[in-house]
Amino acid sequence: MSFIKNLFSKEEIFHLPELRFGRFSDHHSTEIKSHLWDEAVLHFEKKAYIKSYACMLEYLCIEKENNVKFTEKLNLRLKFEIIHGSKVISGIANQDGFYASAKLVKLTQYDEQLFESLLKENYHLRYTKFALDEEDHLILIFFTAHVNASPQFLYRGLRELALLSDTRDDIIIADYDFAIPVNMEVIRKASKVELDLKFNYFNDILQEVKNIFDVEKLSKKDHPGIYAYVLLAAVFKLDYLVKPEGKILETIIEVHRIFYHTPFLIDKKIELMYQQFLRLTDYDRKRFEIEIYDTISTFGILQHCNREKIIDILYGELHQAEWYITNGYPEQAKAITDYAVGYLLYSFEISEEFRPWLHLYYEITEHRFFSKMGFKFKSSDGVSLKKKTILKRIDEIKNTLPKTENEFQKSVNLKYESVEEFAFSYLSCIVKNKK
Amino acid sequence: MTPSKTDNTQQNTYASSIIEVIEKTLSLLHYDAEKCKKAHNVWELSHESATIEIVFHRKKGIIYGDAFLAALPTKDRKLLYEYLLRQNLHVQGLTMSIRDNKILISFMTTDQDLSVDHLKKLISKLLIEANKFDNILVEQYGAFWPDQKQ
Repeated sequence: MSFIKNLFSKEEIFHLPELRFGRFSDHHSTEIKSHLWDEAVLHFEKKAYIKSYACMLEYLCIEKENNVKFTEKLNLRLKFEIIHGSKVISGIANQDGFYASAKLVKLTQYDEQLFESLLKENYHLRYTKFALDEEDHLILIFFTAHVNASPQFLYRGLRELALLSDTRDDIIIADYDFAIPVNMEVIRKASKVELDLKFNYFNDILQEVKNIFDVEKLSKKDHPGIYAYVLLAAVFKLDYLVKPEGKILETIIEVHRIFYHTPFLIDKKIELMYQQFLRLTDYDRKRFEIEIYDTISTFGILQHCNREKIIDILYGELHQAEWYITNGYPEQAKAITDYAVGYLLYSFEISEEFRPWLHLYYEITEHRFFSKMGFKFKSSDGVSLKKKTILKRIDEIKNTLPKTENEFQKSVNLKYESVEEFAFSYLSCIVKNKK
Repeated sequence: MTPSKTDNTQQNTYASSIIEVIEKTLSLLHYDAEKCKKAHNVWELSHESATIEIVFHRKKGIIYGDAFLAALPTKDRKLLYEYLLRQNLHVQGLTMSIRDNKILISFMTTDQDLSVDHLKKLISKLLIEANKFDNILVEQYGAFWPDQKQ
């Protein structure tokens, strides 16, 4: 977009090929995994509880990630560790039942307000509870007697334990300076260069949105919807590319929640979403750094989404964007296409065959991010899009996928005049090939 | 999609079987299930100073038991909260929590494979722990008895 000032400078280029993007997806759909699950159910039905737990925990193992470790595996006793995000879940199963816990933070002083909020939350938790251990760690506990510990019950309990402890620790640390992080060994802190680049990109996006709200090229009164698209597209982009944790992630989730899960009229929603969004502008480099790190995950939060649904969502949003293209508002049209791609990646478990196409959308439209991050594929020279390079990249992706997954038989329809036009034509190609 | 008549009948039969397990458990614990029943899915029982409420949440497929231990003191709650959180480390299968102005100890179990034996253990444990904790909370941490004027 013309009014965006790209804050990256040339010297900041570096190489980081292992950068992770977006949200973790925990589809355990291989034949081996299904077999392990069935075994766990069978053992549970025969009351062979420890065997059932071992199968269930093996089901959670992710190849190459080393996310589940058995520290003791006997016929009548099992000790294990599960890594999820910044948390290590330690567990034991013996004659008493199945017990697992995760340390959130270590407290150096006690706070009435913090304790009260955790005790209130305890009432509503279904599987877990907050507690305080002898060494003043705030911990989250999941315990169940054998009779209840079916594989499904264990999965749900461990999932609540993992997801809640992994999000709550950062929030407590951000709100209470006497709370000290624990399990720092399981996170990969970003390098200084990566942090600088992500922080600059983060600020670029914030500034871009503020400009759109300040300039109000299309009035908020007549076109309120486009402002919701702008805000959601921005937070989804940050979620996928910058991949923050803690309070930044909480703000992203809140912006999404206000739009999708509050009963207000659109004008009010936009006002509330923007208020939340502006909280991100309070971040200085130091606060930002605390919330940027990579982790290993075991549980995902995404819903399953089949190809037909993906295509339907893209088709619907392209229809919305078409009006803005036709009437000379390409930047607004791009907010809609950005939203469509971001929404899919933020909300759904996208198949390994489809995900590369959505990722490529960002590689091209957010070229400023990828080129500085050291990725070899450069879709733009900074002024115009490189047609040959883009087509070559499309072919590379096509070659890694089965022929039936070919999204670009009609890549001749792609338009390279501007990023906005390209974005629209790219998604149209995907949709037309599938409709 | 709306459930068919067959689905509804099956669900009602299933719910009735769970209610039967709960009421049979209460009888084994020497309570009159009919007298305890406050609604079609809610039962209330007392033992010494403790009163507990058993609720079968049909849609969620869970059964929970809440014992109202005491009311929160009006000030200086930090030590009390610390105590409740520390006890959560030790009371296996039960949770100490607060709701509104009340201190509660609760259990939750699913309706899958619910047995009289398992439920009996849970209710008995809840009654024992509730009787123990309410005294401690009132005598040592300044909490109020449920019916005490503050």
